[in-house]
Formats: sequence, structure tokens, C-alpha cells
Amino acid sequence: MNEHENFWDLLPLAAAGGLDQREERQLRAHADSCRRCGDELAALQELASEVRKLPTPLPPAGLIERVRRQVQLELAGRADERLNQVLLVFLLLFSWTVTLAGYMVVRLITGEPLALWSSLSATGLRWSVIYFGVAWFGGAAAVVLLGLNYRRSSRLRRMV
Amino acid sequence: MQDTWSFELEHALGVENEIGRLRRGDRDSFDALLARYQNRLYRYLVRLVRDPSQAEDLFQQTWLRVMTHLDRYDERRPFEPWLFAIARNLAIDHLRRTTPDNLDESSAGTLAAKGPDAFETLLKRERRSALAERVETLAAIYREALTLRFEEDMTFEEMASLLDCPVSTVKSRVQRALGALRNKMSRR
Repeated sequence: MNEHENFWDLLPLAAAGGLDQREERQLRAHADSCRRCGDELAALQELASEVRKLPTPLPPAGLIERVRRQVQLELAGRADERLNQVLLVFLLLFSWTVTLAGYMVVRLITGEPLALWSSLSATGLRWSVIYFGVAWFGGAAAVVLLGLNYRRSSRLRRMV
Repeated sequence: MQDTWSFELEHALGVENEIGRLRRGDRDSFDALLARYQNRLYRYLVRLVRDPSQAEDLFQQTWLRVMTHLDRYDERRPFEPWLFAIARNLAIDHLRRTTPDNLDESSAGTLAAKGPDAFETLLKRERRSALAERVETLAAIYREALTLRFEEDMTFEEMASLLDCPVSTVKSRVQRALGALRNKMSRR
């Protein structure tokens, strides 16, 4: 491949501004002495400039409105998710507090506020286990239901 | 040069601010972001898939994906390449699914100008119309290279980051795309 062919291949890249300074200098020097390369470079630069000026297709107004609506829906869904998370934490804390407070209230009523499990009668122990069991099962069910709801609403939003 | 820098800095800070507010659920910030990128993103998609109705679908999907993947966006990186990369991935999936050749005739429009410049205006419009048609006949990879370099005015480095390939590959694509377009125009 001779020098002319080397430069000829580089002309489109030169017109696109992709040569480094050294390459650019060498190509310019060649184009000054080679009319064919000079003309081709000018034509390619003109072409690049025309590509820049191609009419820009604009998105239809209806499309922008549709996108806005969908995204508002997405944002509303996110707000719901955040609320659900806060609610979930609140419910967990609340159930723990109620459980512990309930236990303390029972002990206060029985007149033994500082007594531990060991001092409970068999009946007391049975009722305590039932009480804790129901409270914890209720909490777990709430967590599962909220989780399922979260998954369902995320899936729905993706389908829209 | 300093003005350009300060403009770019303001632009970047503005986008960063909008993303931050959007993450906190601010609806107005989405409108601002949409207004900022809607024309460029739509043009990019039209150039890639050629069919405006498909471009509309992809445009919609892109913004929805932006919203659903917003948590994954790294705020230390610029938003623009991330946005265009999402659009690009969706367009590539679409192009893989559909047959590549379904060319639309570009509308040349009617000549409204009157007076001594009318003929020249007509010639310019005809050439522009011919150019748009020739661009559409290029392979998707070349159409993309041309629109990113010349219409989006991206640097080769920015293009390489968006296309996830070396700068040398990007240069080669632009070089071939412009060369191919030149051949098509000279055969006119």
C-alpha cells in the first residue's frame, strides 16, 4: 500500500475529527499536494456537516404524556412500597412492645413483677406460650402478606 | 472554553440534582429530566430502529426501565451514557427480534418557499432527503456511529464508554460509516 492509499483510507476518520495531531498534520500536508485527497476530504467534511444538520425527529406530544403517566404510576407505587416498609417496621415494633408489655402486665396483676419463667405455674406457662405463639404467628403472617403484596404490585407495575 | 466547562458543570450538577430528587420520589424532577433528554433520546432510537412507532415503544420502555433500575444507577458516573445504554440495549433486543429491512420512505415535505431562493432550497431539501434515505440504508451499527458522533456530538471516548468497546473500534466504525455513506451519495 503506497502513501496515497494510506491517507485515502484515513480521510473519513479525518473528516470525523478522529485523528491525533500528528496524523492530522501529515494528512493535511499530503492533501495540500494531492488534489484527489484534498477534494475527497472536503467532500467528506461537507457530508459530515450535512449529517449534523439532518432534521431531528421529534417525539409526539401524546408519547411524552403517556410516559409521564406511566412514570407517575411507578412513583406512586414506590411511595406505597416505602409506606409499606414503614408500616412493617412499625407493626413489628408494636407487636414486640405489646408482647413484652402484656407479659409485664400479667406479672403485675399476679403480684410478681420481677419473677421469671421458672416461677410460673404449669397453667400460666401454657397460657404464656399460647399468648406468645399467637402474637408471633400474627406478626409473621403480616410480614408474609406484606411481602406478597409488594411482589404483586411490583409485577403489575412492570406489566403496565 | 471556560464557558463551555461551566455550562457542562451546571448541566451535570442539574442532572445530578434531578436524579437525587427523583430517587426521593419527586415527580417534578422526572418531568425536568424527560424534557432535558426527550428529543435526543427519541432521535437516537429513530435512527437505530428506523421505524418511529417502534422508536416510541422503545422510548417508553427506556424511561420505565430508568425508573425501575434507578436504585442501580451509580451517581458518581454521568447519567447520559447510562440512559443511552439502556435505550441501546432495548433497541438491540428489538432489532434481534425483527427483520432488519423494513425501510420507511422519509417524507421530503413540500416546498413552501417562494422567490429567487426557491430552486436552491428545493435542491438542498432534495439532497437532505436523499442523505436521510442513504443513512437509513446503512447497517444499524453504522447508523448508530454516525448519530452518536455527528448528531449527539459525542467524543470517541464517550462513545466507547456507551458502546462498551475500545476507542479504536469506535473510530473504525465511524470511519467505515462515513466512507459507506460517501459511496452511496456519490452513486446517487
